[in-house]
Amino acid sequence: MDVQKARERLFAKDETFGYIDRERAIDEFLAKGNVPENQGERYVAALEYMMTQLSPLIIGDDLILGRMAEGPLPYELEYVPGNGFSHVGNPFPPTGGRDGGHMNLNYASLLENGLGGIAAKMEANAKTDTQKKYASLARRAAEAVRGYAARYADEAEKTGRDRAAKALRQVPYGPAYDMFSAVQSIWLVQMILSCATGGRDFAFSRLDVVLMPFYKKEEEDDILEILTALCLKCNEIGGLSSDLSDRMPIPCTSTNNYLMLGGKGAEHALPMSLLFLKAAHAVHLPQPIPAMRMSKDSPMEWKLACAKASQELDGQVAYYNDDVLIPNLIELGYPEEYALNYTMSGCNRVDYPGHRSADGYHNTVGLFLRTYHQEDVHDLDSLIEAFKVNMKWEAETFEGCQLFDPEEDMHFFLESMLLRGCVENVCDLENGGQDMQTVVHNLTGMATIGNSLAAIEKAVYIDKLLTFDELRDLVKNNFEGNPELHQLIRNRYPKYGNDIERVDRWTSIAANIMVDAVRQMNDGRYDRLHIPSLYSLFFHHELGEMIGATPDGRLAGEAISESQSPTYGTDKEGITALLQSVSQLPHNKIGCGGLNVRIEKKLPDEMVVALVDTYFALGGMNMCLTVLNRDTLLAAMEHPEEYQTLCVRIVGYSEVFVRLPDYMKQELLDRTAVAV
Amino acid sequence: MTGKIVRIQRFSTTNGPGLRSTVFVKGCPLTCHWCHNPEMQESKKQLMVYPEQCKACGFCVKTCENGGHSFVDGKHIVDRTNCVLCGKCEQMCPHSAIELAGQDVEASEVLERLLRDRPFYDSSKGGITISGGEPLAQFNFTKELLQLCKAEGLHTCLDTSGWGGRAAELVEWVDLYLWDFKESDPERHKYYTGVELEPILDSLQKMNDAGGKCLLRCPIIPGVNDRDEHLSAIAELANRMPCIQVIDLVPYHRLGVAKADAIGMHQDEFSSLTQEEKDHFLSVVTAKTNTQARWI
Repeated sequence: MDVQKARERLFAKDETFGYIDRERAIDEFLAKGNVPENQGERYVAALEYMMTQLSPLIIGDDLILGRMAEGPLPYELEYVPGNGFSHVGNPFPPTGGRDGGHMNLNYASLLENGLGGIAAKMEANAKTDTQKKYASLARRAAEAVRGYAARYADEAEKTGRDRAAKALRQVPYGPAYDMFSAVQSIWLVQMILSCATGGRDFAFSRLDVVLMPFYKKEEEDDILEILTALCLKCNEIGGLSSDLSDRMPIPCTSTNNYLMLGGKGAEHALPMSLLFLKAAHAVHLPQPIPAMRMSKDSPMEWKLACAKASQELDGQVAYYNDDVLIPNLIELGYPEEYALNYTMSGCNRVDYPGHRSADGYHNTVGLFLRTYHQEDVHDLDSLIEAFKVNMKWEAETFEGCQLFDPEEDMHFFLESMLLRGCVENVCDLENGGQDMQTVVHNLTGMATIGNSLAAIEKAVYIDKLLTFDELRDLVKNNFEGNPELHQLIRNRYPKYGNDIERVDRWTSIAANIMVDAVRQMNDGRYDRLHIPSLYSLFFHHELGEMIGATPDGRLAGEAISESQSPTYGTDKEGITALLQSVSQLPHNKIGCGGLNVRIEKKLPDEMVVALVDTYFALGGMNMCLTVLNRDTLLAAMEHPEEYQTLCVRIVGYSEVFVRLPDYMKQELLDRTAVAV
Repeated sequence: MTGKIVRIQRFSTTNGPGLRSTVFVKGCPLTCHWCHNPEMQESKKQLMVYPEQCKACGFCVKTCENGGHSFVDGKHIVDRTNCVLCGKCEQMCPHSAIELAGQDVEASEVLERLLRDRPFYDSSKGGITISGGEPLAQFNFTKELLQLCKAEGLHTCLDTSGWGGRAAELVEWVDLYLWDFKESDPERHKYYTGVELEPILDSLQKMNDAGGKCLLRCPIIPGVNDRDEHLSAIAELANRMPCIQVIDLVPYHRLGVAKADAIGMHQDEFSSLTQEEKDHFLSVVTAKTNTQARWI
């Protein structure tokens, strides 16, 4: 397999093209008429038609089969929020009403049962008429995919690909029987979901564990080639830029394929975990996005492999701390088995295999500001107390998740066949079929709030430069009229991220208030689990634009702090000081959240292991380490044509640097770099 | 015991093994032409102004009571004659373009700050390093700090030129010396560093005899000491001194030029070595000694 050639093909791809077969098939399906009104029936009928229409395309030395035909689109498209563009009248609406995908699929079940076997389970479980009807839709969907796989098998035979032909006559309808058929099965389903029915961010979950039963030591070379092919495939679907930037006129502008590797419960699968990292090195592209689980007991071989990956894959790698996350998830209400097998289902959303969690972002700095300017707030104590009350209200009135209406029409989404609970309950995820409903509350801008509280304390109570009300008026007026004080507070007052006890304590207080407001909802009043997360993805810009100045010297409209990071440029004491500060956050109470760290040059792998180990021993939960040299980034901005393959990773997404919008490029430059 | 330091650098990865914190002391009797920390040569405080970070906002002009800052045609002019080193302009500069280099600290206070990163030292087999400036120029402070660190069980490195002849007295508390060896020709040594070579070699010998261990750190400066005979002399020195565990060849970098500008001094700029030259010089060393040698 010529990886270099495949890479070149990817970078030469015309991103104005769309999935031409798919759009044509939808067009024809709609034009034929007799489109069922019920979403589930419409979906399956459209799927059946599409599975007969997609070309079984094979290019170059494709090993694992399954690719979408792309070309200029003559069809009318409409924007799907959070999901790129789709055909007008698209019979495959995104799940969750907002964005499709963002779930991880139970591929272990796919490999064990096949879609046919899963449909049979649903048929056996179906008791009510509705369930029986739903199971019949699942059966039709399984058969439709089977037909598509058979057409691919024919094409494989014609091109002498006997192994693929044999596999595709069996999977994904039937169980997998070896490593090749297993990966082939997973890929075809992953591609149909991402490109044909159209969603984005379908996570692979713990594929090292899932594929381990098919591992044979003597076949390692072959397995590595199969995994390399899978890693390449992940980059074929969707564009190389994200919805931050250019949009592709296809479903899944930037589908992310998250891959959780290693950690507790995966000890026996270490050979597969290591092979996946090797494949990622061979491909060296933004996808898939490896996330690596780590505990203090993880073997050194794994830790060193992770250190190498996190430095050499242009930082496309995040670490997760098992020793913190597993107990947290159990305490939050996960069953032990789910907690042990935690994975991620998008961005930075921790989840269990075969599940989709809802999520949303709280404008917590906006709430803090509204509290600060409340009439009954007149000192730090009353500010803190009022913020607690308001934060509780904010969490409880959160619109992050729609309630399911049992009276609603029956839905059907293919992905439900790979979600826990939907098979047993014979009920779609959109009708509340999953075995647990969880909502992740992303709490943003905690460093901005912490720095603000610390600044109020210093200016009003320690330095006694002005009264609480005077400072509040100044902040309200965007610090106009007192540039000296503004400068002093903004640039000289101590900031979170420098291992300064007083400021870190305030940031921790802010984070605890936000996190506790979410956790208190898990007291039995609600029918779903509420998971606090200290994470902002890239919304710190958007959220900052909406609000006025903050007491830490941030001016109106400026970005708030990102995820668990300090305000950019304010951590000046080096990475160890930064990690000491961040470790003061209530990591033991949260279920997600991330810290981005950029270092200027590569370190010995042993040193990275020591750094991560120590941070995790201090209680840290997640770290995304990026090795990015400022000069390289500047050169890439000046001569983008020479840096087409420079990838960058930030907690939650992975990008080709030169395709990012300018403000994101600048942010990567501004992100505190740790000189070594 | 009070000492004068410029800063404590945490997450220091190039000043000894593992993850470390490095204390940079202020004051050095040497005047190496290529010094990468020229702000640490003077033992008294100094005002540093970085013109490339200055955005000409004028806060410093308004703040300084002695007329130390002004702008002429947009250029930041510093008049150091009336500067009383009060640091008010540093406090008011929004862009970190002004820095007052030098602070008086107790050794015990430094220890407290160093201990913050103890978990990182322990996990990486790292520790602390005292550098500068010349730590031996503040002998008593350096000794006390080393003793305090050893009492805490920390791994210690002392980065020194060997000046002053007393390095060997600290062997008990120094796990590893980072011995900066600059020039093997006595006359050139005197010319380029301002001090005699012989006392430094004596000091190295004494440290060797006292059972100390060191990394010999050799800055290779084009046009100054990039000669085969100097590289050979380094190898021969390593053969004579069992204390030398590793020879580190250190390439010249220009960091000192901007910092010298910032304190109102001029520093000569040298060229950079090519990869071929680096390979060659390393081979000259390795041909003559079995001691491990490397570029860092």
